[in-house]
Amino acid sequence: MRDTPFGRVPRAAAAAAIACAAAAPALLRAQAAQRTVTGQVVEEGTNAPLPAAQIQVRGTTTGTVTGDDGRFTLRVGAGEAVLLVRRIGYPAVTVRVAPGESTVRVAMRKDALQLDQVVITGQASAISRRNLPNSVASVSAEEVTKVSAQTIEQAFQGKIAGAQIAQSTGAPGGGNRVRIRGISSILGNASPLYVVDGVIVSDAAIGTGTNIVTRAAGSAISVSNQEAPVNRIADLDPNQIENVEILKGSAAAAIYGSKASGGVIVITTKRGVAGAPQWNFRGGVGTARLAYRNGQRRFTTLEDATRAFGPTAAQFYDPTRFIDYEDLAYGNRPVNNDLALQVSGGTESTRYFVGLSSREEDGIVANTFARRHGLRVNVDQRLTGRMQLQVGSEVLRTQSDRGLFGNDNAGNSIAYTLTKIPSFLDLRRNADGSYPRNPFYPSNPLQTIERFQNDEGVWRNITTGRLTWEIARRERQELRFVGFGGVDVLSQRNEVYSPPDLQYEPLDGLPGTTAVSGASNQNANLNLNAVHVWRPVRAIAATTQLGTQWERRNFSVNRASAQNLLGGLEVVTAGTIRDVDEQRLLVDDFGIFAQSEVLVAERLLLTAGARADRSSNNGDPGKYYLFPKASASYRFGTLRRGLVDDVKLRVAYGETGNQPLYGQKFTPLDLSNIGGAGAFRVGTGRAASDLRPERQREIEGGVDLALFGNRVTADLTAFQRNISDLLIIRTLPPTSGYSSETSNGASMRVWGGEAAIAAFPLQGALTWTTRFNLGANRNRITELPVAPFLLGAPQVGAVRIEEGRSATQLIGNDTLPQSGGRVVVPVVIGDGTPKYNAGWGNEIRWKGLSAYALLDRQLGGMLANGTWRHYDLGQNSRDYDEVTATGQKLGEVRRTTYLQVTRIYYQDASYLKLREVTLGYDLPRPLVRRAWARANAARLQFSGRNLYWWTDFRGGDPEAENFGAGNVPGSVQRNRELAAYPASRQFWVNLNVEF
Amino acid sequence: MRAPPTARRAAVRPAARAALLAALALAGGLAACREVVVPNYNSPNVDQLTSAPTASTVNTTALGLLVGARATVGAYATTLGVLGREVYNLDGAEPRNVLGFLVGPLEPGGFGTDMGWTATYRQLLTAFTVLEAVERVPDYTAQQKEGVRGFTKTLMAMAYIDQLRIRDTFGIVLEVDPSARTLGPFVTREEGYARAAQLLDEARTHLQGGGAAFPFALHAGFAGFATPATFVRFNRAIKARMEVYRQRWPDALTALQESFLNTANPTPATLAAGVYHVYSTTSGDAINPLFDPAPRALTAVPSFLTDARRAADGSIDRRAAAKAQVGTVSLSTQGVTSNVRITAYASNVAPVPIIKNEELILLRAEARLATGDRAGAIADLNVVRTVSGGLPPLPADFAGDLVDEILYDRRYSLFYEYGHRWVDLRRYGRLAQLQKTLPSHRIFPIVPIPIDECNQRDPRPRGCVQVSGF
Repeated sequence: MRDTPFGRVPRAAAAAAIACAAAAPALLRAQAAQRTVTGQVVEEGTNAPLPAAQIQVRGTTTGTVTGDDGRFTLRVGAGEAVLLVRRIGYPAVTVRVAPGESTVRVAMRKDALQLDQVVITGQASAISRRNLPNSVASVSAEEVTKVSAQTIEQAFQGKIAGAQIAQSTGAPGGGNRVRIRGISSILGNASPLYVVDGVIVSDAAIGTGTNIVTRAAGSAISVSNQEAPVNRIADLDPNQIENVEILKGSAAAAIYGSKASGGVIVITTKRGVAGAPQWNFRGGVGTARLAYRNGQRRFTTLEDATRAFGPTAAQFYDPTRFIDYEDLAYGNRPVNNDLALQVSGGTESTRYFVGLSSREEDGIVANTFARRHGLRVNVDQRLTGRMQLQVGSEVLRTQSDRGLFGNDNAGNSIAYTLTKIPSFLDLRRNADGSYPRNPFYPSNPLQTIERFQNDEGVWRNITTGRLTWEIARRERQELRFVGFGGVDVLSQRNEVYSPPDLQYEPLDGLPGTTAVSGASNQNANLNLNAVHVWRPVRAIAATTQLGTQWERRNFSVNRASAQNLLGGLEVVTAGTIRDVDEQRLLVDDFGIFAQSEVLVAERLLLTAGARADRSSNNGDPGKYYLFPKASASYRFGTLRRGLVDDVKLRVAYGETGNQPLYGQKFTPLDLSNIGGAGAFRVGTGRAASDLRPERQREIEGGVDLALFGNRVTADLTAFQRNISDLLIIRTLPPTSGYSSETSNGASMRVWGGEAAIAAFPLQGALTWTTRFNLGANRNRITELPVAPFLLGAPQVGAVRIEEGRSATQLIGNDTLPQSGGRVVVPVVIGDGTPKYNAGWGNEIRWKGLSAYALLDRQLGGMLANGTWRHYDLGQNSRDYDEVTATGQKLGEVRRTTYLQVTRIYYQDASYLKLREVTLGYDLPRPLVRRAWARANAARLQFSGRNLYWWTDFRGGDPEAENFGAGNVPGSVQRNRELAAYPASRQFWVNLNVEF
Repeated sequence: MRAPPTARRAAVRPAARAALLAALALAGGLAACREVVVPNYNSPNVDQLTSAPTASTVNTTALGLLVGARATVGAYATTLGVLGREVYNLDGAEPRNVLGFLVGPLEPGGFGTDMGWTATYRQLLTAFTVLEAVERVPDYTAQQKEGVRGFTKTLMAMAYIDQLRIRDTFGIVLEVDPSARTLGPFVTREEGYARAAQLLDEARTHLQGGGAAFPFALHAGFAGFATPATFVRFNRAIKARMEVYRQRWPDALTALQESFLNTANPTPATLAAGVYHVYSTTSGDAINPLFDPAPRALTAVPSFLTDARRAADGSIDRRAAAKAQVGTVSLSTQGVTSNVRITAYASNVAPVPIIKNEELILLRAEARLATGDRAGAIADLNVVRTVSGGLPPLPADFAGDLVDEILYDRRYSLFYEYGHRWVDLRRYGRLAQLQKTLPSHRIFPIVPIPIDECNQRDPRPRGCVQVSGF
């Protein structure tokens, strides 16, 4: 194990630490006669030269950076010089240069296991992973961009122990659910908090407005949980990310106070490295294919056809015709591209990073697509010897059309309609461009695919700034100020256009529907911190910080819709029937944070801290809620060299909160009008007046091991979280006049464990890296001050919140024999929480060749298969005609009994997926140089995402989910799939060039 | 490369540190002191009504009772219409409209069992809140207060009656406690009707002291009934319907006398006179939920046309011809097929009757028959069937079952308005006359109490049972 100098941070991106390192030598100065030292920095094992390594002469501010060939030249004092060599991805190395030496060779070992990574522990402090008292997962840039992903969450799938990440829809553009360490709330916010370079960014999921067409839930223009909206983290560009840290538990996330109950995902973007401009180009071309199929019924007799589709079927029945509608609807063969061009460089005082990217993806359904274009500029400027400014700004443009999918009550959702079309019916486009009328259902999905428009466009800017000021530094004490903050401004526009000539449009006598929505969201935050470091003796360092954080979120969405479009125009003013809608939201939060960390002899780390938060969402907006934390870790160091190289025991306790959502504290009067006069009605829900944040108290403990000459690391963690003051929107007896009430009250316990094992079994010409992670959790409602209540309806599956039971237990109807007949009763049919989630990635490299595969496994969990149910209800499922033991048709039995036996369509959501695969080849350097003299390296790669899977879930994707995604709470109620955009397999070819 | 700072320069400068800490404390302190109170941007809050109500707020809320009454039209006309085999809901996207209401069983947690239960109690809570608020409005005159009370109590009685028709002998709850700490007990059907009758009578007294005008303007559906004096006639019409339901025939006849019943110079227009729910396409207003022109889901049960009687010239009952016709679209869901389009409502803003003269005449026929006035009953029926149906009159000495005749006329005069047929057949114990399309279908005489009500009551109300039908 190499010496890691105390207080040094081996990663250029941690700016505070850089300032510290740069100023440190001021304390020990010995300027005398000078000499020149030259040298080269290479990678251990491969001996490849390492450019951009930073070299500093200890005790001075003298330093330099290696060139392309890994070489450097330095002026040092006449005596022995100690060089500190740092480079991203490699643990720092110190090298002694004796007085007589003038050349030096530095070999750095690649830190494949990220032992020396720095992890944030406070608003303005960080610590080496070696001492970290919590389990914090990290995902590097390399891992995020292994296989082109629609969104960063998708790129995380299978890589984080204890995170359950599922793709709600297969539609281009994303839409994911991330749940870290199980559920943390019943009806509060369930998503993690996302922080980019210190700024809290929005993960809003803003509905598209298709509900006006599908009528999936009432007649409002938009009902976002029915519309599978994109959660806006999808805007972030994975190419610009340097590193991601996932603060899983309250103990780590307590620094984010009352917004951190779902965990915190801390994203750091790439920053410039001093030196000549370094260019990197990554280009990919890809395509996608339908991954899962439902199949269709084959009607062998006219009687079957008329029984299922009525007497009209006789006019269309043809026993020889079998049309595969999944092929027709989902058979588009897109040509996708993913391009990124980045340049980084600068001087010691000014460094820059510029990244430009473009990703254009079409769906397996024609006319659906997602596009993302982005530009990021990050600049680091040293203002004075003690003051460093870092700014970054990213402009993103995201556009998509995700078609018309999901639940529907108007007969036009594409996947829904597919379940109702007999295979003998030909709905393909006529030669004149018109479409045959579907006689059995209100729409022709092939016409809908061609003509329906669901355009979404987002402009987004995330601008961040960070000022680090070294106020004072003495031998034993340092004081610095770290201020950071920024804004995330998002503007989204949706245009839903359903032209008058679509089959379903004239049904209501109002042909043509259009809905236009404009949403804007601004997140602004500012953190001011003072950090004091005190070293009373050499072996002890105490870091204390005091800070404030202010955040404001301002959201509004305006919608207008029109029906009966004159002239078929898209514009709302063309409609004779218009509707408007507006929703606003403002949240203002303020927190005060104090923390002290004491590191003793680099072995023992003790931390204590607290945060006090107030929020305008609480019943009392002026009241502060305190969230303390404390942790300890102890490194035993090397017990037996080469066998047990490091052992760390850690225990951490922390509290976080979960704010009420905006508006939950109000008991509103509904607005409407009748006959031209305004009308108030008492609303359907009411609120307790003293709403306060949910409080999570989490204790976690674990052991981290480095074994076999640091070739294996293992992190084992167990946690238990007690959540009190849970917000419950409990169902009230309707005779109270209200349907629901929001209050604090219930308690829940969540417990579980995680294991993350990384190993480097082979190191040499042939290298093999393997990473395994596993996370499992269980939960139980420990206290419920109200009667058990249902979320959802037992016929289609409901969650029952009940003391002493899992908060994700699923209740469904069952028919039980009873004297004198049978009775339908609600019974427990399973649990929505998986038994475990695990990921296993392996990478093998040999010379320029590499192969990588990631398997992702979920065991357990249950999901209602709504698409299958609708194939049955349409008497159209592939196995409908199979005969049961009692001689009935299998589909007939399911169709006629499911309302009394809910479990028929509840399926095990277990899966094993081949998430990511890559095959890469580093083109030989001479060849690359011959092709283009400026190029340093080039790499060709074939990759794929979701290439194969094993699951018993029928027809669809066991990750899919229709209700609950979006901004509607639904933390526990995420177990229904219905007519989602189908999942696809993705294939890519990439070329990566450095120059 | 920058020259290294000297040790002296690097020493802590107390002034700078103090300044910084002061700035930090100031920034933090300022931000902390300035707590941000964010209002509800999206709607007013109920405390506007409960703390210091103004006339304007209470007026607007009183009109909200009309929105609340209208909110259940779809459930009553369509769902009760399906139970009473007036209409089918053959929505292919929601097969439970067939599997749930024609096959069943009906269970507390089953599809659509709510049938306006939740909306009714929300309506009642709004009404109770208005009654409380009225007492504290400083800018109402005494007469205006009486007007608001009379209006509100009439709508409250309507809400009770709405649910009594559906839950029948399972009973309902009368008291609404907004704190939900104490739940009102279930009362029997008879107690429920008694409370509704009491409210209607109290309302009449209030309305009689209500002066020349309500403090708010009623919509066009109340044309002719928009002042306290004329609203009383609507109140009596509701009372008459209720008294017929509970077979207090003399009371029904008394109420009818005070209502707007009118048989003078009958024309289709005079029969249609009455009080209506109105619709518009204005943003924030509602459209007629019974209008399905294509149709996409809502069809008439084909027997509505085939059971219709014919005039002397062989033409079909005008009521049947006007309210349904065979269309080009044949809908088929779960083995149920219909190509009979509902034409009872001409557009998506066509008004839906709350109660109309035609029903009052039929109510009087029923009450007269029950009180032994057979000739009077026949005279009333003949007004309706000749003017509205274009059918030949019954002979004055008609000896057949007059109940059958009344039920026939009620079926065709009141088709797809309020689920009348199901309620009427049950009142006379004749639900078995309903035809089942498939052997698996059932007739349900009553609807259980919804699960959300059952779950939170111990002991469970007796209506919390599965209804298997017959």
